[in-house]
Amino acid sequence: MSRIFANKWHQKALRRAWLIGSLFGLTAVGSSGCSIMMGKPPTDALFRAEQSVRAATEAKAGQLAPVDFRNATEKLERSKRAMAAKRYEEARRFAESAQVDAELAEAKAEAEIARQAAQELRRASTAFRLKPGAAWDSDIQGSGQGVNKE
Amino acid sequence: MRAHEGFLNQWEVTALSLLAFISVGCGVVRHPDLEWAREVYERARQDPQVVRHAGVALDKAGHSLSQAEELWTKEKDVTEVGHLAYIAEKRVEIARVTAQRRTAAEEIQKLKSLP
Repeated sequence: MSRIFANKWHQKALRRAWLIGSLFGLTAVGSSGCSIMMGKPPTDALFRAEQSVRAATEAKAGQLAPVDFRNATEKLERSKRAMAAKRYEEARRFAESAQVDAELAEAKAEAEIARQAAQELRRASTAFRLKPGAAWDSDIQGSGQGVNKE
Repeated sequence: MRAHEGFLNQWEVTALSLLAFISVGCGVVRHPDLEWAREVYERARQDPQVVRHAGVALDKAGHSLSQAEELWTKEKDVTEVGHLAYIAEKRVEIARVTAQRRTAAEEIQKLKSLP
Protein backbone atom coordinates (compact mmCIF):
# COMPACT_ATOMS: atom_id res chain seq x y z
CA MET A 1 0.00 0.00 0.00
CA SER A 2 2.71 2.42 1.04
CA ARG A 3 4.62 1.37 -2.01
CA ILE A 4 1.69 2.29 -4.27
CA PHE A 5 1.32 5.64 -2.50
CA ALA A 6 5.01 6.38 -2.83
CA ASN A 7 4.87 5.50 -6.46
CA LYS A 8 1.88 7.80 -7.06
CA TRP A 9 3.57 10.63 -5.14
CA HIS A 10 6.71 10.11 -7.15
CA GLN A 11 4.80 10.30 -10.43
CA LYS A 12 3.05 13.52 -9.38
CA ALA A 13 6.32 15.18 -8.36
CA LEU A 14 7.94 14.09 -11.57
CA ARG A 15 5.08 15.53 -13.63
CA ARG A 16 5.23 18.81 -11.72
CA ALA A 17 9.00 19.08 -12.14
CA TRP A 18 8.64 18.40 -15.83
CA LEU A 19 5.94 21.08 -16.15
CA ILE A 20 8.02 23.67 -14.30
CA GLY A 21 11.09 22.74 -16.33
CA SER A 22 9.31 23.10 -19.64
CA LEU A 23 7.84 26.44 -18.54
CA PHE A 24 11.33 27.71 -17.76
CA GLY A 25 12.62 26.39 -21.05
CA LEU A 26 9.79 28.00 -23.01
CA THR A 27 10.34 31.36 -21.31
CA ALA A 28 14.07 31.23 -22.08
CA VAL A 29 13.53 30.29 -25.73
CA GLY A 30 10.74 32.86 -26.12
CA SER A 31 12.70 35.76 -24.66
CA SER A 32 15.87 34.96 -26.61
CA GLY A 33 13.77 34.65 -29.75
CA CYS A 34 12.24 38.06 -29.11
CA SER A 35 15.60 39.68 -28.57
CA ILE A 36 16.91 38.14 -31.81
CA MET A 37 13.87 39.29 -33.74
CA MET A 38 13.65 42.78 -32.32
CA GLY A 39 17.24 43.64 -31.36
CA LYS A 40 18.09 47.08 -30.06
CA PRO A 41 16.39 50.29 -31.26
CA PRO A 42 18.73 51.78 -33.92
CA THR A 43 18.68 55.30 -32.46
CA ASP A 44 22.25 56.11 -33.63
CA ALA A 45 21.56 55.04 -37.22
CA LEU A 46 18.35 57.05 -37.27
CA PHE A 47 20.11 60.10 -35.84
CA ARG A 48 22.85 59.88 -38.49
CA ALA A 49 20.24 59.50 -41.24
CA GLU A 50 18.37 62.58 -40.01
CA GLN A 51 21.61 64.58 -39.93
CA SER A 52 22.53 63.52 -43.47
CA VAL A 53 19.07 64.41 -44.79
CA ARG A 54 19.33 67.80 -43.09
CA ALA A 55 22.76 68.40 -44.67
CA ALA A 56 21.40 67.35 -48.08
CA THR A 57 18.46 69.77 -47.66
CA GLU A 58 20.87 72.60 -46.88
CA ALA A 59 22.93 71.71 -49.98
CA LYS A 60 19.75 72.16 -52.08
CA ALA A 61 19.74 68.47 -52.99
CA GLY A 62 15.93 68.62 -53.23
CA GLN A 63 16.31 70.68 -56.42
CA LEU A 64 19.70 69.52 -57.68
CA ALA A 65 19.48 65.76 -57.00
CA PRO A 66 15.72 65.14 -56.61
CA VAL A 67 15.69 61.35 -57.13
CA ASP A 68 18.32 60.51 -54.52
CA PHE A 69 16.95 63.12 -52.14
CA ARG A 70 13.45 61.65 -52.41
CA ASN A 71 14.86 58.15 -51.84
CA ALA A 72 16.54 59.41 -48.68
CA THR A 73 13.48 61.16 -47.25
CA GLU A 74 11.16 58.26 -48.03
CA LYS A 75 13.52 55.75 -46.42
CA LEU A 76 13.88 57.98 -43.38
CA GLU A 77 10.10 58.02 -42.99
CA ARG A 78 9.91 54.24 -43.40
CA SER A 79 12.66 53.85 -40.83
CA LYS A 80 10.69 55.95 -38.35
CA ARG A 81 7.54 53.92 -39.00
CA ALA A 82 9.42 50.62 -38.52
CA MET A 83 10.95 52.01 -35.34
CA ALA A 84 7.50 52.91 -33.98
CA ALA A 85 6.30 49.38 -34.77
CA LYS A 86 9.38 48.01 -32.96
CA ARG A 87 10.69 46.38 -36.13
CA TYR A 88 14.22 47.45 -35.26
CA GLU A 89 16.15 45.44 -37.84
CA GLU A 90 14.07 46.93 -40.64
CA ALA A 91 14.35 50.40 -39.07
CA ARG A 92 18.17 50.14 -38.99
CA ARG A 93 18.40 49.07 -42.63
CA PHE A 94 16.12 51.90 -43.78
CA ALA A 95 18.06 54.43 -41.68
CA GLU A 96 21.44 53.29 -43.08
CA SER A 97 20.11 53.37 -46.66
CA ALA A 98 18.57 56.80 -46.06
CA GLN A 99 21.92 58.08 -44.79
CA VAL A 100 23.86 56.90 -47.83
CA ASP A 101 21.16 58.17 -50.23
CA ALA A 102 21.23 61.58 -48.52
CA GLU A 103 25.04 61.70 -48.71
CA LEU A 104 24.87 60.87 -52.41
CA ALA A 105 22.20 63.53 -52.97
CA GLU A 106 24.36 66.11 -51.16
CA ALA A 107 27.48 65.11 -53.15
CA LYS A 108 25.53 65.36 -56.41
CA ALA A 109 24.17 68.78 -55.49
CA GLU A 110 27.65 70.09 -54.66
CA ALA A 111 29.11 68.61 -57.85
CA GLU A 112 26.35 70.25 -59.88
CA ILE A 113 27.05 73.65 -58.30
CA ALA A 114 30.78 73.24 -59.04
CA ARG A 115 30.06 72.13 -62.61
CA GLN A 116 27.84 75.16 -63.23
CA ALA A 117 30.44 77.48 -61.71
CA ALA A 118 33.21 76.02 -63.87
CA GLN A 119 31.02 76.30 -66.96
CA GLU A 120 30.20 79.92 -66.20
CA LEU A 121 33.84 80.76 -65.59
CA ARG A 122 34.88 79.00 -68.81
CA ARG A 123 32.32 80.97 -70.79
CA ALA A 124 33.41 84.23 -69.15
CA SER A 125 37.05 83.47 -69.74
CA THR A 126 36.45 82.77 -73.43
CA ALA A 127 34.47 86.00 -73.76
CA PHE A 128 37.27 87.89 -71.99
CA ARG A 129 39.91 86.49 -74.34
CA LEU A 130 37.81 87.47 -77.35
CA LYS A 131 37.73 91.09 -76.13
CA PRO A 132 41.32 92.30 -75.80
CA GLY A 133 41.79 94.99 -73.22
CA ALA A 134 38.54 94.18 -71.41
CA ALA A 135 38.63 94.40 -67.62
CA TRP A 136 38.44 91.24 -65.59
CA ASP A 137 34.95 91.28 -64.19
CA SER A 138 34.91 90.99 -60.42
CA ASP A 139 31.62 89.05 -60.66
CA ILE A 140 33.27 86.46 -62.86
CA GLN A 141 36.23 86.22 -60.53
CA GLY A 142 33.83 85.66 -57.69
CA SER A 143 32.06 82.69 -59.30
CA GLY A 144 33.08 79.22 -58.26
CA GLN A 145 33.68 80.22 -54.66
CA GLY A 146 32.89 77.58 -52.10
CA VAL A 147 33.29 74.62 -54.46
CA ASN A 148 36.77 73.80 -53.30
CA LYS A 149 35.77 72.36 -49.95
CA GLU A 150 37.16 69.03 -48.86
CA MET B 1 29.59 -3.43 -62.40
CA ARG B 2 27.87 -4.05 -59.11
CA ALA B 3 28.75 -1.40 -56.59
CA HIS B 4 29.42 -3.68 -53.62
CA GLU B 5 32.06 -5.59 -55.55
CA GLY B 6 34.15 -2.48 -56.30
CA PHE B 7 36.36 -0.20 -54.26
CA LEU B 8 33.40 1.55 -52.63
CA ASN B 9 29.97 0.22 -51.91
CA GLN B 10 26.71 1.81 -53.06
CA TRP B 11 26.17 3.84 -49.86
CA GLU B 12 29.70 5.14 -49.77
CA VAL B 13 29.45 6.30 -53.37
CA THR B 14 26.15 8.08 -52.64
CA ALA B 15 27.52 9.72 -49.48
CA LEU B 16 30.69 10.90 -51.20
CA SER B 17 28.77 12.31 -54.17
CA LEU B 18 26.45 14.17 -51.81
CA LEU B 19 29.40 15.57 -49.86
CA ALA B 20 31.13 16.67 -53.05
CA PHE B 21 27.91 18.26 -54.31
CA ILE B 22 27.37 20.17 -51.05
CA SER B 23 30.97 21.41 -50.79
CA VAL B 24 31.08 22.53 -54.43
CA GLY B 25 27.62 24.08 -54.08
CA CYS B 26 28.57 26.05 -50.97
CA GLY B 27 31.57 27.56 -52.68
CA VAL B 28 29.66 28.54 -55.78
CA VAL B 29 26.57 30.19 -54.20
CA ARG B 30 26.62 33.80 -55.28
CA HIS B 31 24.82 36.96 -54.35
CA PRO B 32 24.06 39.00 -57.50
CA ASP B 33 23.90 42.36 -55.68
CA LEU B 34 27.24 41.67 -54.02
CA GLU B 35 28.82 40.72 -57.33
CA TRP B 36 27.47 43.89 -58.92
CA ALA B 37 28.82 46.04 -56.08
CA ARG B 38 32.24 44.37 -56.46
CA GLU B 39 32.20 45.08 -60.21
CA VAL B 40 31.21 48.73 -59.72
CA TYR B 41 33.92 49.16 -57.07
CA GLU B 42 36.65 47.55 -59.20
CA ARG B 43 35.71 49.78 -62.14
CA ALA B 44 36.00 52.88 -59.94
CA ARG B 45 39.41 51.71 -58.71
CA GLN B 46 40.60 51.64 -62.30
CA ASP B 47 39.46 55.23 -62.83
CA PRO B 48 42.40 57.61 -62.25
CA GLN B 49 40.08 60.59 -61.65
CA VAL B 50 38.32 58.77 -58.79
CA VAL B 51 41.56 57.45 -57.29
CA ARG B 52 43.17 60.87 -57.43
CA HIS B 53 40.30 63.01 -56.18
CA ALA B 54 38.18 60.71 -54.01
CA GLY B 55 40.54 58.19 -52.40
CA VAL B 56 38.93 58.47 -48.95
CA ALA B 57 35.40 58.05 -50.32
CA LEU B 58 36.54 55.05 -52.34
CA ASP B 59 38.10 53.50 -49.22
CA LYS B 60 34.77 53.86 -47.45
CA ALA B 61 33.10 52.00 -50.32
CA GLY B 62 35.76 49.29 -50.10
CA HIS B 63 35.12 48.94 -46.38
CA SER B 64 31.38 48.44 -46.89
CA LEU B 65 32.11 45.92 -49.63
CA SER B 66 34.50 43.95 -47.40
CA GLN B 67 31.86 43.87 -44.67
CA ALA B 68 29.31 42.48 -47.14
CA GLU B 69 31.73 39.88 -48.50
CA GLU B 70 32.77 38.75 -45.03
CA LEU B 71 29.15 38.34 -43.96
CA TRP B 72 28.37 36.43 -47.13
CA THR B 73 31.28 34.04 -46.56
CA LYS B 74 30.44 33.50 -42.92
CA GLU B 75 26.67 33.57 -42.67
CA LYS B 76 25.07 33.71 -46.11
CA ASP B 77 22.58 36.25 -44.76
CA VAL B 78 20.91 37.20 -48.06
CA THR B 79 18.96 40.25 -46.79
CA GLU B 80 21.78 41.84 -44.78
CA VAL B 81 24.36 41.19 -47.52
CA GLY B 82 22.00 42.75 -50.09
CA HIS B 83 21.67 45.77 -47.82
CA LEU B 84 25.44 46.14 -47.35
CA ALA B 85 26.00 45.68 -51.09
CA TYR B 86 23.56 48.55 -51.71
CA ILE B 87 25.50 50.75 -49.26
CA ALA B 88 28.80 49.82 -50.96
CA GLU B 89 27.41 50.61 -54.41
CA LYS B 90 26.09 54.00 -53.27
CA ARG B 91 29.44 54.79 -51.64
CA VAL B 92 31.19 54.11 -54.95
CA GLU B 93 28.77 56.53 -56.59
CA ILE B 94 29.54 59.11 -53.89
CA ALA B 95 33.26 58.67 -54.67
CA ARG B 96 32.62 59.21 -58.39
CA VAL B 97 30.54 62.35 -57.81
CA THR B 98 33.08 63.71 -55.31
CA ALA B 99 35.82 63.21 -57.91
CA GLN B 100 33.71 65.12 -60.47
CA ARG B 101 33.22 68.00 -58.02
CA ARG B 102 36.92 68.21 -57.24
CA THR B 103 37.84 68.10 -60.93
CA ALA B 104 35.46 71.03 -61.50
CA ALA B 105 36.97 72.86 -58.52
CA GLU B 106 40.44 72.30 -59.95
CA GLU B 107 39.32 73.72 -63.27
CA ILE B 108 37.90 76.78 -61.51
CA GLN B 109 41.25 77.37 -59.80
CA LYS B 110 43.08 77.08 -63.11
CA LEU B 111 40.70 79.46 -64.89
CA LYS B 112 41.01 81.98 -62.09
CA SER B 113 44.80 81.90 -62.19
CA LEU B 114 44.87 82.65 -65.92
CA PRO B 115 46.58 85.94 -66.72
